[in-house]
This record gives sequence, structure tokens and C-alpha cells, in this order.
Amino acid sequence: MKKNIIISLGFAVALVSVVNSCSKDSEFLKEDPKTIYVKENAFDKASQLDAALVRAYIKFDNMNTIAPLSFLLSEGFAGDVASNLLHGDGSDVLGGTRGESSAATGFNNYWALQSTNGEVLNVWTSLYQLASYANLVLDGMTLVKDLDPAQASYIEAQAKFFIGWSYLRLAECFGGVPIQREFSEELKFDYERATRAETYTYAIENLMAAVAGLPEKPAQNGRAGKGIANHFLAEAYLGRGIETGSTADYTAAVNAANAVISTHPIMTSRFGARAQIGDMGNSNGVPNYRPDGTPYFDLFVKGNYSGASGNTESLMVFEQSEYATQSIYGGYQNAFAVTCGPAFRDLQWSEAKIAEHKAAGVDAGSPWMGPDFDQVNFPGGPLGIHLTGSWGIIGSTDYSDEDVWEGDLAVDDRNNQNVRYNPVVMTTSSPYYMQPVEKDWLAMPAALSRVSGKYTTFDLWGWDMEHCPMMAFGVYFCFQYGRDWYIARSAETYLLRAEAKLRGGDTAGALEDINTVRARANALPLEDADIYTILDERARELAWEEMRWPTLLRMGGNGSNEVMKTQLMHHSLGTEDVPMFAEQTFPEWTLFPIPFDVIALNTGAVIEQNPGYK
Amino acid sequence: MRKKLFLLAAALMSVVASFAQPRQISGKVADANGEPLIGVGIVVKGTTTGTMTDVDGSFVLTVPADAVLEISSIGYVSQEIVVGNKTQFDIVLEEDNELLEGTVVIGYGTVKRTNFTGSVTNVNVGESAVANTPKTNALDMLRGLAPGLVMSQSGVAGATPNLQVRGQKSISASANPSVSQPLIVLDGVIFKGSINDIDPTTIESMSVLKDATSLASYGSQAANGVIMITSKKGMVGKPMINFRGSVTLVGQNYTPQLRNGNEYVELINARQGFAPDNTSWMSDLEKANYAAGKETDWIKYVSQTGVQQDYSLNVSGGTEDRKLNYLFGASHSDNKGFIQGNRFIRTTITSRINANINKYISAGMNFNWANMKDDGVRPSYTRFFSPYGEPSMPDGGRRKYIIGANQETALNPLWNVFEGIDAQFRGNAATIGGNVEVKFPWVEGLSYKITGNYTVRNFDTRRFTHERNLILPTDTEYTTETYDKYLAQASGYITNAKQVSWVLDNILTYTREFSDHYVNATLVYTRDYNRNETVRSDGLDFSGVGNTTLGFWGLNNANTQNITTLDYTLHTDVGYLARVNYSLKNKYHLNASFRRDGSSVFGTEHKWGNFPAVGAAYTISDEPWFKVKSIDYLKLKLSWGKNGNQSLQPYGTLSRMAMGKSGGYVGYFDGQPIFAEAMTTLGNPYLGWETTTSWNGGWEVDLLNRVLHWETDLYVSKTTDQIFDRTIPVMGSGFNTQSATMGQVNNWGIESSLRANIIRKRDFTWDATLNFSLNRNKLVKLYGGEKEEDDITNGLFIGKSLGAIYGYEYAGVVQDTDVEFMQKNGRTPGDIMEKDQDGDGVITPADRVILGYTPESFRMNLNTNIHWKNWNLYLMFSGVFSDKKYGKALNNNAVMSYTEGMMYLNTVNHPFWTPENKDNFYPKPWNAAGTLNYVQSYGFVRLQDVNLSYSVPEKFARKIGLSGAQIYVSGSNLFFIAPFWKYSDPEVRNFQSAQLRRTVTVGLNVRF
Repeated sequence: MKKNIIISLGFAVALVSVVNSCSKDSEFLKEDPKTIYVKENAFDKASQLDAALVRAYIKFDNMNTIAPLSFLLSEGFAGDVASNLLHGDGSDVLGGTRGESSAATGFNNYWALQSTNGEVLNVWTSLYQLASYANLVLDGMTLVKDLDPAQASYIEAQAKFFIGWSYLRLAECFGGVPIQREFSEELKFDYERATRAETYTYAIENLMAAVAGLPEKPAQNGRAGKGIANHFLAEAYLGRGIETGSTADYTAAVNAANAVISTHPIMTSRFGARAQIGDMGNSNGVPNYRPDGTPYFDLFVKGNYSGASGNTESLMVFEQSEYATQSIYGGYQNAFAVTCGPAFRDLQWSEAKIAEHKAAGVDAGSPWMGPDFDQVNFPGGPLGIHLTGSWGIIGSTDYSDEDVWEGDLAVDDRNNQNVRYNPVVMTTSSPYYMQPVEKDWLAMPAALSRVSGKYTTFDLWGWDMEHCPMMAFGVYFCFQYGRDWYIARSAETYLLRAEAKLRGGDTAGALEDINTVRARANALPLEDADIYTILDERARELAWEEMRWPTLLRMGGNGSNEVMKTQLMHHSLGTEDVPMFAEQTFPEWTLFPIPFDVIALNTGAVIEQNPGYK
Repeated sequence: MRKKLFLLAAALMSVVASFAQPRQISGKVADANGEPLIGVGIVVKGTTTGTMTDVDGSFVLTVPADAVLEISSIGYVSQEIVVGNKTQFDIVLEEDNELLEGTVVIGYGTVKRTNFTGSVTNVNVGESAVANTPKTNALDMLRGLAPGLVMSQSGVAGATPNLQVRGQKSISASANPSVSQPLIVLDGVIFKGSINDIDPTTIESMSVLKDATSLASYGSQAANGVIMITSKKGMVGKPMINFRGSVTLVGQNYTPQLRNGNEYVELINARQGFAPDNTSWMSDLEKANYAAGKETDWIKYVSQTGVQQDYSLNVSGGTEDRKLNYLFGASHSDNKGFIQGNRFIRTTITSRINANINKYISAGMNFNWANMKDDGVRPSYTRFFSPYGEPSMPDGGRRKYIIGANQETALNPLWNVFEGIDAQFRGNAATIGGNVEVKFPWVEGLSYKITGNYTVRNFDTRRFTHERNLILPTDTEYTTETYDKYLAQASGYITNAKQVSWVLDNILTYTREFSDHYVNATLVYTRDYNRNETVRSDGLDFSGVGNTTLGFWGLNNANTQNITTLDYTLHTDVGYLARVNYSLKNKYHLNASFRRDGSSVFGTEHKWGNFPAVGAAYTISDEPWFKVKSIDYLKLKLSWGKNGNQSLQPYGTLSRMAMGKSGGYVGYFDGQPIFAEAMTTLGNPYLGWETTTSWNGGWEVDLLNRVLHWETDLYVSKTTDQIFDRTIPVMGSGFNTQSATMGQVNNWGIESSLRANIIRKRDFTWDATLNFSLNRNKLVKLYGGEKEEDDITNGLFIGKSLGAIYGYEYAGVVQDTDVEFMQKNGRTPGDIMEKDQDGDGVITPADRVILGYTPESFRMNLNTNIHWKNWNLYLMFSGVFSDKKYGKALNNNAVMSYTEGMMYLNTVNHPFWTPENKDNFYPKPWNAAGTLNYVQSYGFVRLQDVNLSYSVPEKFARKIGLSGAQIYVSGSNLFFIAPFWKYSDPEVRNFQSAQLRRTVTVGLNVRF
């Protein structure tokens, strides 16, 4: 018995020592994330720094495109949550629909802009995110060993380009903002605003560093080069000049613009894929040679965006993938393949028109969704492709698609390049069937804008008809695989230089620059120039390209912005057409509000709100 | 030694118990004072043979020679007596000061109930009528029986409930219920599997530990409560075979009333401003059905009568010398839900052997194996289509797009269920465990126990979408040629998920009683380990193969093949526990413990946490001076302690990067793709333990000769250092959120349980238990800083309860006369009107208020058991109550006639505003401007369970060779009353989801 006990105990002790003979507690509790990359093991090589830079390129590029449909407002579709507002949603050039239901919430009612507006927060967030992606690259540079100095300098220059651009846009949109000089994982709640001039200065410093380190022309299609950095440098000097009144800044802006223009003259003669007389090739049955093309037309031909096509005007492009590569590696396709228009389904007949229809014994509905709408010609009705689908969110204003082209100005290649059509009544039983809908036919406070776009449906040349990945309501619509997107063209640099000259007192020089741009489009030369002339010219030359809100917000300094106020009062959908909104007194603000969340989160210090907001 | 153990087990299996001649015995039962005891149960152990004492305390019984008598009566300590050769018995029962059970299961041991200072609810599910109700998982058996425990219900077969003990403590718990789940401990070891792995019929009892001292033993993992599950063991006696079988019919307990065809047409026309009988917006399909008067009830279309079948069989027994007991069991449950395509099948095998090898050494072994199958696709239940949609093709096959080509593409809800998707979810879980306990021969009362469990769970998800599933609305013919167009989009994947866990406990216990002193001291060193690995392989594009006959087994033939997931996580914990229980004169009880825990998931400098606890109890009724006649027993108790919660996932402190192609970002330069790398999560190395500090006070009292037993607990708790994603300024890192340690939530509550033995007669007993629980919480701190501010975005308000419903108060419908409101707010008649709280005429964010709180006001459950002769009736009512502030939920569907901005969706049937019929409660049916927050009280009372059983009289049972048999019928969820809640079950609170199960069961329990 005793022996048994001892044997058993011995066994028990042996068992215990075996099962407990593991490692020390600290070893046992150590984490080893086998399948996860963390910052510490993600920066080993220069190629990884470049990969981190590519993240910044993607953010930057996506912010620079327009998303005509709401579901395209994400990076997955070559758009960004901030891109439509940056491009001018609610400004003088672009606006959304204002049906009854969206009257109080749409951004285009800029008079009602509040600090809680989510779109403004998107702009703030996207800009700081871009800067932090670039800052992470600079941070990662400290982790990579034996980095080749030439490589290091190029990587750093690209990162600084993005930082400079972010702070340029921040200064333009919000004024002075907190300057975050490095990537920081620490919790921080005591940010303080720099002044607007300081913010411009920070942008200038970074852009100058970018100019110094970038190659003369982009090293690859899609990359930044000296040209694009100087272009934004010019804009940053111009902005700081307006804020501080310093003429030295205007001179610096002119100099930076000169550097761009000297290496990137605008295209004044025909070039590229559709300009070759005698080219017998075709695309989708459409001959390559386009006899009625113009230099301006050639700028927007697929394949003509890069410098390799002989295009000197292109400063930087967002390179899009071809289907073959996109289907394997992923990526983005130019979503701007469909025309833009607001959500027409929200618009209804006016009471008079309803009465008229009733008298004719017809159920009125809306012009696009009445009884017996024409399903054959317009499948999908207001949800169909002819009215840009149910997700349509943005369209041009009367100012940008009519007013700026009036009179002499109609004789202009650029006017032809822009496509626009009026939505017609699709209801077969309506007496107005197939007639273009007029504004006063609709219930107020509905504003109507046309369906428009820059280059969409001239012909089927360059479309990838085989790979239309989406079909909505029985109709295919294709993304334009391989059609790039301009980040900037030197035509805009001319207009920046014109503005710098004008503000510096050289009106003649300004006029000369404007007319250089106009001459290329076969438009008649102007005889006088002021700031509004430049804004009009930007609307013509850079329709659907320019970031309009930053332009307008940049026009003022030191708490006043008469230029923006005038533009908005006269041209925005939010005041011009709708009596209900026209009654409003113009708001006092001259900048976007600092987003409410930013102020609320900053518990350790006070971030002052911009004037004019509650 | 192990060999010996197995030999013993094997020998036992082969033992054929010998039967001896039955004979008659008689006797008398009395209490310590010699008073005869009436109605004492005398049962031959392991059988249903038994009787009760009469008014003189006498009994007569025929027993087999090897019988063991079990003598039991409420309020007295049960006894077991070996009959042997005796025929006459004088039995003295001692009063049970320890109430019903002598011991309470606590962490890493047991403690005498008298000495227990904490708060625990014990439910003997094995023997109660609850076992006769069709529960699909073990936790379900606790529903309504444990005060302080809140459990979600689901209508989906195979779904596991979310639990909450003593209120919401973690701020993030509403978004992520998994962080607030209680810890489950099975037979003394932390259970690493899923509750679905446990066969409910093998459970003997379940305890819910709630106060800090009881929880303290599990320190870092216990802040949300602990549920201790004790499984059945073999009892002394010959092998006994138990069979249980039941068949349950399952239906939906509530059917939302949607608009029928004509009402639907009226609604759609009203939405668009058309004439009431206009049909121009209809598709051709709808038009045809409208003309033919053919409507489809889509709820009915996806529903079916579910059938749940449960079978279990086990063999158990133990040797007379108590050296060995065993239980082997198997069960099979096939649960077909009331929604088509929903079927959950589980098979389990359980075995347990315990051996007392000699006086000093005992050992046990257990093995659990479960196999689960949850195949197929469940229909989407969220959309309600036009009643004139058409689910079938002319040839009778299913139609994919039920409205037609040119309308919103409404997918037939059964399309994915039956047409061209193979989906399998299969898993098995095995736990093998054992323990060895050594009593030190040299020190009386000192023992050392080592317990270990090793669990492996493998789950495979396989899914394949055949080309047939992918046809488009424009495809009018469903032919092979049509299908072949979609071969390039056919795709599938196989996911293998593997979980390996183990727990190892070293327990050193010293228990000793010296005269008036009782000491129980425990030292524990424990480690656990939890590793998860997931691999997912995807295949896309089968155009190169020509068909997809092989389904997911042919993924290797796909044109594109990817490993899309490769995941590995490891979570380890270490714990040290020291605990002492001390009692003086069985009246004064003290319990103190200290636990120190380390966990791998926290930052390097924050891995360790300390969790102390102290409790005291005072059995005041044992004082000589305590002479309150109606009070038989009274214990007062008070405890304090800290517990932790590991709400962090492994690697949650690290900043993660997305790299390469799988990172999802690609840029093109000169036609060449470059994959981007990006930080995807911002880490925080400072994350540490979430701690709950709580006080618990209460009493247990027996009244009126133990007719009433009343337990009440009051508690307050404070949960600090919570980990959740907080919104951060974007400027520093480009991130908007970061996990951070912060915040404080306070809870307080009352739990009370009153049990009444209303009738205690020989043939007729009736008892009832009323459970009451009330919990309130308050958000005390959020993000810290100088001044705490509300986080309106996330609905978090300082000083207010969690679950606040915040927004504009509904003030009815805008009418023509509300001219000023319309002008100032841009509204038109028929729009929603919000209450202008600040009276400035304009609806601004300042007009938002707290409209109510989601947590219930309180809940009460009443269960009652009536036993008459061979009949037993069990009823359980559960009630959740709302008041003016609590128990509220948004129910916009009760007001609004459209959802999700979808023009053609049907809704529940109620009126709406029209220019002709200017309702002041229901807005217009389309684009009503304004924000609707319509809040209703969801309080309800439901008959949760009812069970009527009949035990076959023993003599009949014997005749057919059984030692006992019981047949029963049960029902669950038979009705509910929710006076203020509309259009759905008050617990589901969404008419677009599946409602709850309503079941009727017939079952049979047989013992051989």
C-alpha cells in the first residue's frame, strides 16, 4: 500500500514537472504577429518607401478626379470623398440637385453652410491624410538602411510635394491650420492653428524642396516632376501674396510660373493619336484621324495625356490602367466616362404643369417618371443612363455651361469640347414629350441643370467596348480604361501667372497670358482683364478640371473675399435661380468652416472657428 | 498508472450488474428532535422506485438487495443508506443549514454554501422541467432563471445568444457584444470552445457568478460574469441507460402585416403622385399578376414549418465502493428553422471517468466531441417586394429577378438559397481533458490538483457560386447557353479555420476544520493558450474549364487562384491566485483573494494586472440571541473586489501595414502597376486592462418554516480603463480612430429571487420562483481631459445611461396651417415636424434631445412547477418592462411609409398623409423632409416555456422492461403581450428581420 502511494506520488510529481516545464511568463506572453506587417518590418528597402509614396499618389490622384455618381466617391473608383466639393460642388461652376427633399441639406445652399457639414470635414480629413501618408514615407526613410542618396533625394522630394500641396489646399480652404511636421502615433489633443500666411509658407517650403529634388519632367507617366511642383508653388506664392499683400510674392509666383512655362509650353498645334492625316487605323470602327479636331480636342484624346505623345502642356497625370492590367492587379478607371448631372428623379412638375397635364387627361408624375414614360428610348427613366443614373449628384451651373460662352465667346474650340444636353420629357403621353425641360416647368425650389461633361460621347473611339464592367437598368456603361486624367496642364499655369501679374499691377502682361491660352482655342482675344475675366477664363479652359472652391476661397485675404461673394451671388445654383434662396442675405464667411469635430476633439487647446460660423 | 485507469474503465464497461431478489423494507424518518418527518422522499438510487413517508414518518418499500436508498427532504441534509441485509430503518435527518446544496462551485474549487460570501445563481437544469423544453444550446437553458442575466434571442437555428451579466459595462459593448460575454467554465476549467459545442442534455447544473469575490478567482477574464457549467456524472449503482428524444415543430412567432396588393398599389401611386389606380410604373410581370389578381406573400414565400429533432443516449454508473464513476453519451440534434435554407445539425459524444485510485490519489478524464453542420444560404430577410412580383418562371422554375428587367433589380429571396450556390459550414470541436488530485498524506487537508484541457476546433467554410446563379435580368431564358456566358464570373472559396487552445491549472488547496474554525486556502498557477489560424483560398473564372460541376472542390481549375486570407493569432494568459476562506463558528465568514494576471494582448509595459477581492458574510440566525420565529435562516453578506476584461484582440497594440497586392492599393506609372503599402490600423502600445471594481451586498433568508426562500443582492460597480476606438484628430497620423484606454461606466442594480414552496404534500407539490432584476448604468467619464464632453456622434452622454436614443422629438406631420414652420424650415405639408425644443422656430441641432434609453427598466421572470401524482406542469413567464425613460427603441416603421429611400418597397400596413387625407401622425409616403425619430416602449410579457409531463407509473414501466419513462409536451414562445410595441416581436424590434421561434414539442425520456 505504502509503496503504491509513493509510486503514485512520484508519478504525479513527474507529470506536474513535465506539463509545467514551459517557458518563463515573459516569454510565454510575448506577441509574435506572424502574418502581419507592422511599421517596423515594413520599411526595409527603397522599393518599400516608394510603395508608401504610391499610397500618397493614389490619394492625391483620386482627390483630383471628379466622381459623377455618388458610389464613385471612393478611392476604389478613382474618386475621393473630398473630390466633388474641391472641384466646386455648390460653387459658381457646379452644383447638385435641389429637390424638395434635399433643400436643407445639399451643399449647394452655401448660405446654410455649417461647421457640422460632413463634406467640409471630408476635405479636411483627406488633405491631412495625404500629408500624413507623405510624412510616413519620411518617417520610413529613417528605418531603411543604406539608402542611395540620389534615391533618397527623389523619394523625399516626392513626399514633400504632397505635403506642400496638402497645406496649399488647406490654407486656401480653411485659412491657417495646425501644421503637423511629422508622422505621429501619439494621442494629441492640443493642436493650435498657425496663421494663413504661415500655412502658405509651410506649403511653399515643401514645394520648394520638391522643386529642388524632382526631375525636370516626370520620371514616369503619373509621377511628379519639377513642372507640377513649380505650378503649385506659383499658386502658393499667389495665395500668400493675396493674404499678406506682399508684391514680392506675386513676383515669386510669376517666376515659378515662368519656370513651368519655359519647359511646358501649351500645345498650339494638333498632336497625338487622332491628328495624323492619312492614319488609316480605327477604333470601334471610328477612323483614328479626326479631321475636325483641334489642339484642344487632342489634349483629351486617350493616349495623348502623357509627355510621350509629344504633349508638353501636361504637367502631371493620374495614369489609369488598361483593362488587361486592371483585371489582374486592380486599380482605377476613369469614372468620368459618363456625363454628369444631378439627381433628376427629385425634380417634379410645377403645379401649373400638373394642372395642364390633368386638363389633358394625363397623370403628370415628373417629366421623367410619368405614366407611360418612354422605356424604349430611355430605359430606366430617371434611373437610367440618360439622366446619369439614380446616383447622379453633380451637374454644371448655367454660368459654366451657358453664360461664360455667350456672344463672341461662343466661337471657341473649348465650347465644342464640352458636351451638354437638356433632359427631355420622357413621358410619351405628356404634351411635352421629347421637349427639353425648361426651368419654370418644375416645382420650386427645384433648380435644373443640364447633363454635361468634358469629352464623353463624341464618338466611340477609344472606348473599351469589350469590357463594360457594369450594367445598370439594362444599359451598359463603360469606364474609360486607359484614359488618363490631368492633375494640371500648363494652360492653368498661364492663368495663374496672369493672375499674379494682374495683382502685381501688370495688367497688360496678364492680358497677354490670357490671350495666349485663348488663342490656342481659336477664341477671340480679350481687350481688358480683371480678376473676374480670369475666373471666367478658368471656367472655360478648365471646365471639370479645376478645383474651383480653392480658387474662389484663395481670392480673398484677411477676412474679406468680395470676389468669391460676387461669383457666388451671381452664378451659384444656390442663389441665382431659386427665389427661396435668393432672399437670403449673403453669409459672412470667407473660408470653409473648421469642421466641428476638429474643434470638439481638440480638448487640450482651443481651435478658433473661422468668422461667419456659429 | 494511466494504464491502470484505462483498465479499470474497460473492466467497468464489461461488468454486467447482477440482480438480486427484491424484498420489502420499512422504517421511520425523524428529525434530530425525534419529530417524525412527513413527505420525505425515499428512492432507490438510480431508479424511479421510491415512496414518501406518511404522517407518522413511516415508509414501506420493495427494493432489490443491492439497493442504495436516497433519503431527501427540503431543508434537510440528504442521506444515502446502503440497504444490505437490514429490513428495518430508523433514519434521522439533520437540518440543512446549507440550504439545498451543501457546496457552491467557485473558481478552482468548491466552498460550503454557508461560508459563501458572494452572489451566485444556481440552476439545476438536469433534473428540472427546463430540460424538457427544446433548447438549442446550453446557455438557452438559463433564460429567465438567473436574475441579472440578460440574453438575446434569435429566430435563426444554430445562432448563439449574446449574454450580459449585471448590465453593460464596456462602452464599446453595444457595437461589439463579444467584449461583454461572460466567461464560461466547464467542470472547473475555462471553456475554450463555443457554447454550441456542448450537448445541453449532459449538463447537470449551471451557476451564474456575479459578485466580485466569486469572480475574483478568474480575475482578468471575469468582469462580465462567469457561468459555471457542471456536467452530469455517473452515480453509484449499476449502469443506467438514459434515452431522451423529442420532436419540435418550429414556426415564426410573429408575422408582420404588410400591405396587400391593392394597398401596395395605392401606396406606390401615392408616393409618386399618380392616380390611385395607375399601374404604368409596373413591370410587365407585375402588370400581368395585377390583372390576374395574383399576389405573392414574400414572408410566406421564404418561410416553412421547421422541425427540430433531438435525441440523446447516455450510459452512466459507478462502483459501490465509489472508486469509479463514468458517463458515456451521444446526442444528435437536427434543427430545421422556420426560414427556408436554415438548418443546423449537431452530433456530440461525451465521456467522463473519475477514479479514486487510492486514499490519496484521484484522477479524472473527460472527452467531448461535437460535429456541427450549418450548410446552405439563408435568404435575405430584409426587403419586402411588390406583392405582384413573380417568383416563378412559366415552366415553374425559380425566377431570379422577380420584378423584371427594367425595375430595381429585386432578387428572388430564395434564389441564392436554391439556385447555384453551394455553401457549407462544417466544423468539429474536440476537447480532451484530465485531472489528477493528490492529497498529501503528511498534512491533513492539503491537496494538490492539476487540471488540463486541450481543445481543437476545425471549421471549414466552403462556398461556390455557379454560373447559373449569375444570370442577369435581361436573360429571359435560363438555358445552358445563357449560363455559359457567366462562367468567367463563377467563383468559390474554401476557408479552413483552426483553433487550438489549452488551459493548465495547478491548484494547491488546504481545507481544515479545527473546532470552531474552518479554513480553506487555495493557491493557483494557471496558463492558457489560444491559437487561431485561418487560410482562405479563392478561385475565380471557370471559363477555361467549361463547367463548374466540381463546385468548390474544383477551385484548382479556376483561371485565377488566390490565397486571400492567411491569418494567425495567438493569445496567451498567465494567472496567479491566492485565496482564503475562513469561518468562525459557522457564523462569521470571510473570503479574501488576490489574483495577478498577465496577458499577451497588451502593450509590453502593460501586460500585468492585479485583482484583489474581499468578502464577508454573517449568519445572523445562528446567533443564540436571534429568536425571530418566522425566520428560519438569515445570512447577510458584503463583498468588494476588482476584475478585469480583456477586450482587446491579439496584436491590437500594433500599427498594422497593408502591403503588396493583398493590401488593395495599386498605382500605375508608365503602364506598370506598383502596389502601395499603407498603414491600416494605428496602434497604441499603452493599452492595458479594463477593470471593474464592484461592491455587492445582500441577504439570504428562509421564512415560515422554509416555505419562502428570499435572496436579494444590491450592487454597484465601476468599470474603468476601457479600451475602445476613440475618434482622434486626423492631423497627426491620418487616422480618425485609435484604440485607447479611457472612460468609466458605473452600474448599480438590484437582483432578487423569491422562491415559495406553496404546497408540499405527498402527491401534490407546487412551487414558484419570482426573479427580479434591475440595472442602471451611467457613463461617468469618456475621453478624459479637463472637461468631459458628450460624444454625440456615438450617442454617448456624460452622466447618462449608455444606449441613449438621441435626436429630434417627433411632433407629428406638417399641415397647411403650420405656415411659419414651413417657411423657416423649408418644409411642405405632409413632411415630418420635429419638436422645436428651444423655441426659436428653426429646427437646428440644438433641438435634439435624449428621447429615451434602450436598456430595459427592469425584468421579472416567474417560473412555477406544479407536481401532482405523475403529472408535472412547468410554466415560465418572462417579462421585460419599460417606463417613461427606459425600455425604449426607435420604431420608425410604425410611422413612415417608406424605407431606405426605395420607391417600390412595400411596408407595414398603416395609413399615410395625403393631400386629401391629412393625417397628423403618419407623414406623406415619399420624401417626407425632416428627421424622424419615433420611439416606442418595447416592454413585454411572454410565455417563454411551458411543459407538461407525465411519468409512467413504475409498475407499467417495469412491465415493459424500463426503470422509468416520461412523456411530455412543451411549448415555447406561445404568446406575448407588448402593449406599446408595433409591427414586430418586441425583442427583435425590426419587421424586416426573422422574428422568433415559436415551438411545440413532444418528447420521451426513458431509463433502462
